[in-house]
Amino acid sequence: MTELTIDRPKNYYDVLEISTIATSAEVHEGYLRAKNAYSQDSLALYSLMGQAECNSMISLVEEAYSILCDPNKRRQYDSARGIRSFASEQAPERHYSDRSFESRDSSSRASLGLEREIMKASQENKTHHEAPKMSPTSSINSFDRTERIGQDKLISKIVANRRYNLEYANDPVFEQEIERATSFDGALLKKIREYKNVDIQRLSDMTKISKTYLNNIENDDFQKLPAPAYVRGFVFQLAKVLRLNPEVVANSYIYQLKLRRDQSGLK
Amino acid sequence: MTSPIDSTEESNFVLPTHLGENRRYKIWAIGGGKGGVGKSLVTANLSICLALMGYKVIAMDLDLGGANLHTCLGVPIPEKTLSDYFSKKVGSLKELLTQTSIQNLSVISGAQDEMGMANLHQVQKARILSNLNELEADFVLFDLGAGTSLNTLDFFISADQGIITCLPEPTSIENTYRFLKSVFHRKIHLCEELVEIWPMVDQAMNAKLNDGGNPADIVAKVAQQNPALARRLQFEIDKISPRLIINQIRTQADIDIGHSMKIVCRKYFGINLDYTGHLEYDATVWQSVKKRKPLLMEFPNTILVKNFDRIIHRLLGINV
Repeated sequence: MTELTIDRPKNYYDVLEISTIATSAEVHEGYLRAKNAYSQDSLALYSLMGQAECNSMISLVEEAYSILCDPNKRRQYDSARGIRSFASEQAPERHYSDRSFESRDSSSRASLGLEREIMKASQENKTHHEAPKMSPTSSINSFDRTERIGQDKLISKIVANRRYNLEYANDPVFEQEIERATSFDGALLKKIREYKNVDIQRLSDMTKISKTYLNNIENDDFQKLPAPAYVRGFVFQLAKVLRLNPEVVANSYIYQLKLRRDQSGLK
Repeated sequence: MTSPIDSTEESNFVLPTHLGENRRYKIWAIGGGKGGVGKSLVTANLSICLALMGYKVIAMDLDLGGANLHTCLGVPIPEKTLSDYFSKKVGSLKELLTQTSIQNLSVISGAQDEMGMANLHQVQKARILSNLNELEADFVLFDLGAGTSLNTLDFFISADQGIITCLPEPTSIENTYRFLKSVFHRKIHLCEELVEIWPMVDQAMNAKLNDGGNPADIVAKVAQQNPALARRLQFEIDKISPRLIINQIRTQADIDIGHSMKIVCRKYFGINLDYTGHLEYDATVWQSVKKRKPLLMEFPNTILVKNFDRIIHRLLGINV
């Protein structure tokens, strides 16, 4: 009977309307969309849903995202609910195996570890799947799981190191220019990004921000950007991965955005 | 007009949803609650897209009170219209066809200037639907009128694919939901097996904002008492899977409204509304309507051509 109630979200993936194999970027996108739909000024709600209902949906959306955006929590959630989610294991592997800028030896070592991890996880997932009702997932292999989570931390550390590593030729003049800059606009951010040898795709992977928004930020295309609160978050994240002072960069960028939006009479 | 039909017959009459197993054409119906949201424009240009792709297309103006699809297609006011068909001056739908300047594309015009034509009887609706076979087309596109009259709802429901156009503004969104509510309501009332839950549906539909109680909850409620009936209800609801086109978008926020509407519709109605695409605001639309020439043919370089291209591919399920 449960399968009939399609309107009731079955799990956090349903809440964000994403598939269980969604990449972290897709999780983020689903989150933004769901939140956008239920937010107070959403036109799409007009004449249809009341405030109380929206508030409860928003808190559900937040709850879902707080779990799914964290790879470790997501994995735990998946295995507890018997959800087959290869993405949380495979995504880093898939993302990084085709990267040309990485030094080969460290990546092969790491991917070996990941591979072992994936195999193990998928085996475990399989057993959950074959007999989901007979073995309530927790008790039987809880020891195995704690060991796994310990290993996960190590793996995600390696992944994080490689994910956020920057390799570029140091240019002292430009470094100083960055150091002294107080006003950061899209063009400067783009220049810094190119100087630090990061392409848009990689920046999008690092920040989990869609390429469209990143391009809009770099082009100062304020009209095509969402509300300042979101943009601030984006720019903050972007500055962080580019090893700039995120506070300063975000404040400066938002100041310009607000200025321009005020001038052009946009909200 | 035909003889009057009493009310019981009216409500018990069920339109044929499957028009014979061996029919070879597909029906797309373009609707939406409000006037001026681009229904005729979308119908005309989707027809042109299909015709250019080599399909044999008939665009049919079912906006009986205010037909102007022919204008969007750049055809002068046709001599024979659906009024002649209803008054039996013309025996076959074939005789109503007007060839447009585009190969493979003909148009059947809605009723012209005959008062009272806007309110059709079920018999007349059924007559049109069951005689579409005469037309030998690959696609028949219905351009529906504004509002939520039974005419409009029934043609929308009987189509293989319902397409809704909407503008990113409160008035249009409000009417889109009203239209969807009406479709939902009508759909369930056309299914006699669900007679038990009609009162429940009426109640949910008439609930005021903030009362809680979404149409989507009905399935869960019914399932508690009668799982078989709930399954049947879900089946009927699943068949309402309209496509959404947002017209006249100007900003990214306008584009996002479609995504939000999809999410909200699933939550509120339990309906899967597919966000098929958007059309950007473009002043050339007015120019082409003023010139009474079809937009895609008159301005092949506008961004709208790209928009329509994406939409038609998505509607046909072709990945690009």
